[in-house]
Amino acid sequence: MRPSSSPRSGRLALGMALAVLLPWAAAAQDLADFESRTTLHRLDNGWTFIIVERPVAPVFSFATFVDVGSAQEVPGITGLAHMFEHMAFKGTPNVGTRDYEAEKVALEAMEAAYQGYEAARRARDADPERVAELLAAFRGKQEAAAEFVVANEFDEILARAGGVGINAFTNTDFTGYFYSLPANKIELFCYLESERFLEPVFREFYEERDVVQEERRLRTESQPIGRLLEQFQATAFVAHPYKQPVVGYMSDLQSITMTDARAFFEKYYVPSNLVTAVVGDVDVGALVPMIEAYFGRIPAGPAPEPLRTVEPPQIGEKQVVVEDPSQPVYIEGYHMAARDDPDQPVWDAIDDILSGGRTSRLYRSLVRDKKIAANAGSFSRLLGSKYPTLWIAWAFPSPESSNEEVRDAIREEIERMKVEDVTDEELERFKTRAKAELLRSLRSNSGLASSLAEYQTIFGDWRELFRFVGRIEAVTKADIRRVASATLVATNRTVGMIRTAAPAAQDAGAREADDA
Amino acid sequence: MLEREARRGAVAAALVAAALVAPAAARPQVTDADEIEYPPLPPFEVPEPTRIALDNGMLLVLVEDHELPLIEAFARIRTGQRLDPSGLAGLAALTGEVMRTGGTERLGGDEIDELLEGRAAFVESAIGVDSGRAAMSCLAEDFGEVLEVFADVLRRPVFDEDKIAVAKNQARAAIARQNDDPQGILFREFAEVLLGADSPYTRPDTYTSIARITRDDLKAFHGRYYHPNSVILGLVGDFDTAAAVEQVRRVFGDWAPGPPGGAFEGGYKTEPTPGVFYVEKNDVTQSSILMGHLGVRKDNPDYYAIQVFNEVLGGGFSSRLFSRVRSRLGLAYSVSGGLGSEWDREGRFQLYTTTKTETTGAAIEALIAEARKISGDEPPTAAEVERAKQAILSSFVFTSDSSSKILGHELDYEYYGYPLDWLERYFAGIREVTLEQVRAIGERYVKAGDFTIVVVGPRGGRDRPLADFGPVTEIDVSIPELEIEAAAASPEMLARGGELVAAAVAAHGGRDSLASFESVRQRATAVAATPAGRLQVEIDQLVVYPDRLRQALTLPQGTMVQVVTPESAFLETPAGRQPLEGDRRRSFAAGLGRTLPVFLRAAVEGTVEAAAVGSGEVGGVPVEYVRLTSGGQSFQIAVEAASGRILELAFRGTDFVGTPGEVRQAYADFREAGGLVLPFSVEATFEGAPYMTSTITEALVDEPVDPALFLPAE
Repeated sequence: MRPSSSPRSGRLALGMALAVLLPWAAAAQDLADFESRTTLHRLDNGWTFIIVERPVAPVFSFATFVDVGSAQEVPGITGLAHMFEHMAFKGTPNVGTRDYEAEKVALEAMEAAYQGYEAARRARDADPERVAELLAAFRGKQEAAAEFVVANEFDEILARAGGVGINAFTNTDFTGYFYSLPANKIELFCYLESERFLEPVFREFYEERDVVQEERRLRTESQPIGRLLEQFQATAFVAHPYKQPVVGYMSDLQSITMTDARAFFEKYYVPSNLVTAVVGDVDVGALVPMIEAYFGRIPAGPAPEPLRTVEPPQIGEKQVVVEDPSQPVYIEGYHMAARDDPDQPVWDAIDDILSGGRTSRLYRSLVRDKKIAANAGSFSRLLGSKYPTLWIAWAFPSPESSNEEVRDAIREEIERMKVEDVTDEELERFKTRAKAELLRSLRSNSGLASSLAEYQTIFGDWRELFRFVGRIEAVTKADIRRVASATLVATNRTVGMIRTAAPAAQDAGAREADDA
Repeated sequence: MLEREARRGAVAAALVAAALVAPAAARPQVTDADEIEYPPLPPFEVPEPTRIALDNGMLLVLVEDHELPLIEAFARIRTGQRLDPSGLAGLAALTGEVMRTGGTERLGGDEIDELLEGRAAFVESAIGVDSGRAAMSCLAEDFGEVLEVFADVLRRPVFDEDKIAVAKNQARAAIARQNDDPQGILFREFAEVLLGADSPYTRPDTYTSIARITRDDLKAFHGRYYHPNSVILGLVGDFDTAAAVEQVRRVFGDWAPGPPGGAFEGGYKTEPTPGVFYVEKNDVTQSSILMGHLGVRKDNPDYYAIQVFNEVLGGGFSSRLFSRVRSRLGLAYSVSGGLGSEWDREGRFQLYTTTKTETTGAAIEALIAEARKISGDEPPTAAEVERAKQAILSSFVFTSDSSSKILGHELDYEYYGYPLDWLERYFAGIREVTLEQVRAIGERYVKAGDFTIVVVGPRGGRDRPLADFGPVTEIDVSIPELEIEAAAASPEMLARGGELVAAAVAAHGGRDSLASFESVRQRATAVAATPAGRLQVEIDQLVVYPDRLRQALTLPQGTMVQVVTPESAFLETPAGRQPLEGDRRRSFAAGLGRTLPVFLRAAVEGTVEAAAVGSGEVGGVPVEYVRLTSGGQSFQIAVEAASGRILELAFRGTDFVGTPGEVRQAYADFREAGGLVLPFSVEATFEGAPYMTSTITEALVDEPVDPALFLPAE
């Protein structure tokens, strides 16, 4: 039976989940209650669904997490996980085409032409004339294939149906897809989301590759912090793929092929590698058969092999300086354990006490008292967290200050974490805030869907999202000193900074060729 | 109240209508989206906000929501950054921030931080372009306590000096960093060209305006605009309305009303400024492009047709801009545009993208082409309009899918004086829009010939000259340095300043020599403390009165020559020649006005204002300080009253890498040269740290000058 749609019953559905957070003694009991509102359904092909009934308004959101990110890339195909994310909006044999049979032939011809061009372009002693000829031939095939495209039909169907927040992301760990629809469009969700991973068609692949190159120029090459972070992660890691930029290197983005993308899809987009969470005004009784019918169409495949490369221990401090005509920025990172490590809640405490809000130590020292930074803080998951990662402290020096000055002040606070206990108030504040943050996150269908899908993917159990708060409760002052002392040491450190350089003027030749 | 209920009923009816299709039995596995038959959207009761006016004029709007034990408040206050007094850009923003951080009569800022963060609550205050805002969020059980803090922040801020200093520090950092992000430059400069550089909507914060603002200014700004009759307070969450109203009355009820304020009209240029405006930025690999002209207000009678028009042009992934410029042409990752609107002023029609430098011209052309098509030979088709209307109507449910969104709409309509049933009118208005109405929008409101086109990006490497798209104006975005304020000089300060400068003129060669010299060439050996360590430098500086300066620095790596004359300004290094432009030209040229013979000659000629600003010591010798203002710059000299000798010169400059800061030059070893008396030893510090020590080896006055020295080397 479908639950009634009044806001009251919405309160019951999640209000119970909440109770987890308030009277902590009763947490186990309330978790059981939340569980009864949440359905975990795994299809025979391995695709996992988590469904939460939250009938507050007649809408729902979903998030699909694919257990693949840029960490699965090897040199030559960096950027491919993200490139595939873009291709997942290009449609299927049924969506986005005027005539799929003919288009399929045209796409195969285009890819053959591209492979021919790519081989000639990269050959030793490449013949420029031959390369130009092959490029022209490829461009012809590309134009021919484009004739069949119905531009962005996948998005258009969703927009017409009232879809909002249609988007996706790729990071080092995951690829995620999400949007929200009015509640009566649940079947459309089942159809389109299964269709897109049943048989994606990589139409407009090479046009989209240009788009992704622009994304790299926009976010990495044309932003000081983008430039710094790319150098910083490449310096901090010597072996693990966290050293590679998610968006990919430009040379790879200019070389990856539709065939590469197809192989990547077939290897990583097997149903057992996917988790989807649906939250909102849905009826689980009606939804499960619909999911079976649509998502069950996708054949099972072998699970991809886990990542082999492990980062070797760091043996000395490292530093990278970006000479840039922009204002100084200072960061320093320390290798830390992966997300599923038992000390993760201790890291959350270190992070919160150093950088959570105006009571945090970095704010009080660098911004409020010394007035040497416009802002300062720390991150523990910036570069990913599925594998051992980096804890990062950062500061933007104020106009009369310098990287060296903020560095010294950050180090002073880090040292204090190692040699003195944090105060009772600090520890309590961290625990209270962690609970409240979880509570606030439950107000959003899309936020909750993402959290559930993420926890299910990392831990194999969405309940970790709630259990985690219990683990936070157990963090002690001694834990904080122990973890800080073991990890926040010079030999484990990588420093990155932007050092202000005079702006580059372009050479006279470039000027004269232009107008302005 | 009856009218109110009818209004809410209309929302529910509209939501049902949005579903469009009758229920049908679910059929598994369609292969075409059009085969899916949608059941009607479940009935949905949109909660009704309660409105109550307190006796002092404060309006409360409340929405109960018991899903979670949380309560939030949002206030709108009738003020805004556009009300910043002239010369005090940044005052409103600082006031909004320090109201919260600077503490209240009852609790200091740090105590408030601790009280709130210990309860995972927050209270924040800010003043935006056209409104003041304050917000709070807390667990329901902490409501009373947090509400008291919230009320104190609005009513009784004390603006602690130290917290003002923190906020000013952050404001100055934002100024220093304002040219690091190309999109920041693009949108700022576009607004400035479009609305006018002196518009209250574009006046930038500067080092000078931030330095000028005092605690009294903050108190006065708050006192002028924060009255209960200027506040609309919205509450949403887990409370009982009657009880919450009582709690609000307890903390706000005795707040006395004040004169209404915050009204604002006009303030920007309305005639178009067509042409291309270019900002050079060479550390990026893309051109960022923004073009357009003024748009409309939300109360425009064509508003609904405009929303449908916008959906066709730039609404989401299937719009014309996205499908053509991004998906088909692959020119950009980021592309957007539309005919924008604001509540109480015109928005902007604008088209935006970023593309690699080599396709700058292609992207500009593609955007202009889309503007011309949709306003001319390719207006929206019936199918496009139908799809756009469907997209807006089908997603309408998301405008009201949470209590806080419902409250937010209500606060907007109230604040800007729009009808409270605006949302229902919107749904009906969109439904009734006709194809003809949408087709008329482009022609009526989009004028490609009037476009202001701003481009930020590298100077070289474009596929086409920018001049192809209109006359090109270069915009100098260099950040104005802190001006030392001269306005405050009293007659006494000016009188004493005049005496001291007269003494200095006498001590450095006398009126006659100073009024007649034509050139001074000084050679020096210097040791500079650079980021790369101590560096020996040979300096050759030539000043030709009144407006030529040449400086050659010889380092182990080679010689670097900088020249500025009325005709040109350039920098020559072993690696080649580059023009000195904008900031760098200005700052180098300013150095000419700070050379001792030049500013003393200006004093003789009466073109400098001299104000005595205090006394002190330089190297143990008592001095009096004189602020000189001449040729648009101010700097300070220290004069030994007894001898008239200038022992020090101080100014706002930069270090070797361009960091702004205070430079002080201490002068010693005075010797006669060609009728002038000049220092032969100069010790410079930057922000108090040793910077450069120079020993003059030769000073030549009125030696013949080879004009070729001021021309670029061949």
